Amino acid sequence: MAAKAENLALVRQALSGLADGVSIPERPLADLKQIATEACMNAVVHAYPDRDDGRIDVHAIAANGEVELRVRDWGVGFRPRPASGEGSLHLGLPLIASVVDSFSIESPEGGGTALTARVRLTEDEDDAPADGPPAPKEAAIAIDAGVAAKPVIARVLAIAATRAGFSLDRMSDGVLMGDVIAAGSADDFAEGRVGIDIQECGPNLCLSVGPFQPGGAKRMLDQMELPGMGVSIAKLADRVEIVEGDEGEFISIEIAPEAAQTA
Amino acid sequence: MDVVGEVRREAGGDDIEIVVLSGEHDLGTLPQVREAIEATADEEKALIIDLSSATFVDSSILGAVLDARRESREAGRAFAVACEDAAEPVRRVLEVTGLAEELPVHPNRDAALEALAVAPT
Repeated sequence: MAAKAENLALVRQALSGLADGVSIPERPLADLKQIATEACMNAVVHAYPDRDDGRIDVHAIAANGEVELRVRDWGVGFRPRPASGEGSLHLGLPLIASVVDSFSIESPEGGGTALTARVRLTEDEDDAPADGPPAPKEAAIAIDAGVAAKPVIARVLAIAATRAGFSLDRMSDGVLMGDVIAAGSADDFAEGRVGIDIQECGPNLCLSVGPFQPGGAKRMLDQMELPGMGVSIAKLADRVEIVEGDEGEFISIEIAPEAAQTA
Repeated sequence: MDVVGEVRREAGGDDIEIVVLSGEHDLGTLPQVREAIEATADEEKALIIDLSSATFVDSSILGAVLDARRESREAGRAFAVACEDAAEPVRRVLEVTGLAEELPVHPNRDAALEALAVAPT
């Protein structure tokens, strides 16, 4: 569909139609509408600054007790909005993060931005299947290493920390950690892209950063320090280790809601 | 369910203007919402934004509500938001964004009117 504000209501109507077809309860349907509207609005406002023929594709697939929603544009790519006037909320992504079970933002081949979100088709947490725990909250981003990486990582980490109930101080540690990761050399990441998976593991946040080139993870850990601040991952995190994955090396980081007491 | 978003102004007495949003509101209806709010600015009356009949609002509408609160403060006008529990999707958005406490939001229009009646301007 055309990337126009008047089409946002059409997306919600299409989701209502899907809900009629596959019996989506009221609460997850409302969440899906919120996610789709916020993601499409981001594309309408930011993806095509110099064009009026931009396109947005919205796909929603219901299967296995959840809906996967994918919103894709072919615009200028994910760019965090610069701070603007008072009253500007920048609430689009935090709103999405607050209502989804998992989401990811990618810069797909061919350009633009793709947001994928999953919402479980139960009315609320109490309706989760009795034969297993609720799906873990998780988020993932993959972004070209460079100037845009720092604000993107910091924002996603802040959202995850907020959702996990982190204290304000600890949330600041998480944002600093994002800055440290973004300050690393792009050469150490495989294909020059910073990838971070964030999951809630118990009360903590678990980050998997990578994949790195062979030896890149250790090199980055050795060099990771926020310029001029002496802040390193090891000082901020509760656990840091290098793990081997199928795609290469990853740095596994765990951060607790409260900072550990040091003697 | 109201799909098309509508905005109208009502008088809440001699000293109060009410902007009522019903149906769905997003970036597409944002100009009308802002226009209705701005049209009350000359009245120098207290302002209530009533979201009780709204079935959907996105973050652009929340931004307009926050701007209205800021401008009311700057002009020395009392300000309140009303949103009944029945407007569940809207109520939920206000809660997950923290605005339910920040604004604050009253459970219905009567409660908002009552709050403004005792609020200093």
